[in-house]
Amino acid sequence: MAGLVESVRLAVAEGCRATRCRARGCSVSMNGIQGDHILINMDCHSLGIGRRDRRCDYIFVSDDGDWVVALELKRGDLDASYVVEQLRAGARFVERIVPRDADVNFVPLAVYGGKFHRKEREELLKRANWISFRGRRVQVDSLRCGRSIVEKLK
Amino acid sequence: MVERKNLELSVRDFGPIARADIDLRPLTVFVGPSNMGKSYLAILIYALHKFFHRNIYDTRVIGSIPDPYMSDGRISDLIHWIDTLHSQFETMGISPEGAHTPIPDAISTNIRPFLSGIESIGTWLNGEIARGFGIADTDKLIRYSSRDGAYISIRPQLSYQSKVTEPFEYQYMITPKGGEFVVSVPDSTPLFLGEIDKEEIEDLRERTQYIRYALGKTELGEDWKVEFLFLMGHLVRLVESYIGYPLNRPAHYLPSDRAGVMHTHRVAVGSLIQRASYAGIQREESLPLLSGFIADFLRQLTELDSRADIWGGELENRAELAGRIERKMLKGGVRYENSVTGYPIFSFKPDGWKEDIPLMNTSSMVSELAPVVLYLRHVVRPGETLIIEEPESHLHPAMQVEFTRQLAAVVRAGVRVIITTHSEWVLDELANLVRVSGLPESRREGIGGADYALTPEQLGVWLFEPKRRPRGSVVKEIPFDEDFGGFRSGFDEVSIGTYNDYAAISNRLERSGA
Repeated sequence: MAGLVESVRLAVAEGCRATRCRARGCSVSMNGIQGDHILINMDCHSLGIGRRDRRCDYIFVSDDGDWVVALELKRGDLDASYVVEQLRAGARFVERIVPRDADVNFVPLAVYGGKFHRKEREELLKRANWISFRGRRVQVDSLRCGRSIVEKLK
Repeated sequence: MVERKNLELSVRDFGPIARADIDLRPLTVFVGPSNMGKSYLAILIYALHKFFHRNIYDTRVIGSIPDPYMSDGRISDLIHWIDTLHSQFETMGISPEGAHTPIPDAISTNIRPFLSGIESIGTWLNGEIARGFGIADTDKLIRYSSRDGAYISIRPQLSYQSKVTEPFEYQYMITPKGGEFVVSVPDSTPLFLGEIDKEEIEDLRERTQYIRYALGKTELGEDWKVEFLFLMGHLVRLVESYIGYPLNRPAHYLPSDRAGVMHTHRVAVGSLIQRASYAGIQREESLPLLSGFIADFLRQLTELDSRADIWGGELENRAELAGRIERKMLKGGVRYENSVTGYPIFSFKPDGWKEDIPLMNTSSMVSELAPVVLYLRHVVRPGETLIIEEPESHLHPAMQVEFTRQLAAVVRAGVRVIITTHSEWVLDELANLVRVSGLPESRREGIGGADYALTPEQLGVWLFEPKRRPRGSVVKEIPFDEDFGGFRSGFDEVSIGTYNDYAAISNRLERSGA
């Protein structure tokens, strides 16, 4: 049986794979990742997502711990309502490409460079703004631009 | 008119501080993790105020005229200059240069040696620092693993219209062998008289009268030298009132445990009195040393009455600053009266109540703010420095925001304020107060805190960050950051950390079906 990453590879065109995670002046370090993994650039045309459709920036998949991370990056302040919409679209995409029987750890991750205002924090704490993923609700996690994604794979 | 800038303070290897280069602004804020030296620096600044506020340039301290003193021709120049200043005051009522009068180079040459003459009283400075920290020897303040000892440098930022010169600098080194005080006054340092009034000019002129008479005689006795020394001492003090500002004005320290002190001061003072009754008999048990700033705080509480009497006329403005805190925050009045022994009794009267409550029975917020109210009403004057450790203590976030506004009002009234803080609310409100200063006054209506706006130049926020090499804290300025929406103090990382922990817990609970 193919591993999680191998299954995703088969579902995504080769040209949509990325080696660097960067968008809107914000990046996430990929240093220190263990095991087989893949990073998908969600702007890739071959994914079949319309230009005007909502989508997050990247999907990261790792065999080590079966992590699937949807990332939305922005250099400025964290905007809860925008991030939630983008990550919801990311979660729907993940549901399509990850085998139904795979028990994965899904993390919707908001990456930001500015401020995480209290108002935005309160919004993200509301259960209504959690991300639905395969019948469960997952709360948005956060990370500062420039930090490593490894911090979230625990 | 020459603008007076701020005072630069550099500190190396002092307590937990490896390196700090700051300048003291009208409102100076110290932030950072615990044990990084914020209070250390605040206490040091307090000790420096205590030292420079003493009349250190008094000729009785310096003791003699440094060599070479003036030639007869130079003395005539000095007398002529004072005559000119006098006649300018006569006709205009003020100095034509405004608050700060430049001194001709020829006369400055003879004043500079007096300025460095205070090197001989380095032990006084050492004593003030030791007292401030409540220790016997200042070598205990040298940072662990420091090679050379602690170093303190003070440079008044002299602002000139035309020329830039080497800085005037006070340096103090603390080594295991003792302290060394060095005053560097480069020859090119232009000097200014601080604020002078007509009375002062009259006094200077009077002193020149005898010297003028003595110069006309063929043989000079020793008396004229004494008169000349007094004249130079007077001029030096006027120069020092410019270069030594704000350290040459009093500072007042409100420690972080002021609420506790307000509750227990009678016990503390009672213990000291009890000990005094055994004077002459050596008792075996010893009382712990009080830090100087705590001792001064206690002393100040017992001397409120006399201070109020001295200042009469200025009372109204300060009473307004205090009254606003009472109206907007405490919803009642802080009172004190002297008991039959003369020792003060502090109480609080909530709005609408008929009777006072002893302060020890009030909420912690009242005990926290009561000394601030009392200091604003009876102690602190414009130009002086008020140091408040953790003004947020015991205050609800909404009150922290309000208190920050009131502190800004105090700064706007001319009092210099230094605070240490761990409060994100305090910094957020300071950011707002700076931000609102960018709006024209006509467009500030309805904005919270608009009446307390501070310009970016009035505020300095300094972050104490831990470093591994050299081991200790390094202090750097964090400017107001528009992109960030405030000051990057690291406080938000804490709240983000708790948010992320909550998310991690929630997501694991979801997965486990709990």
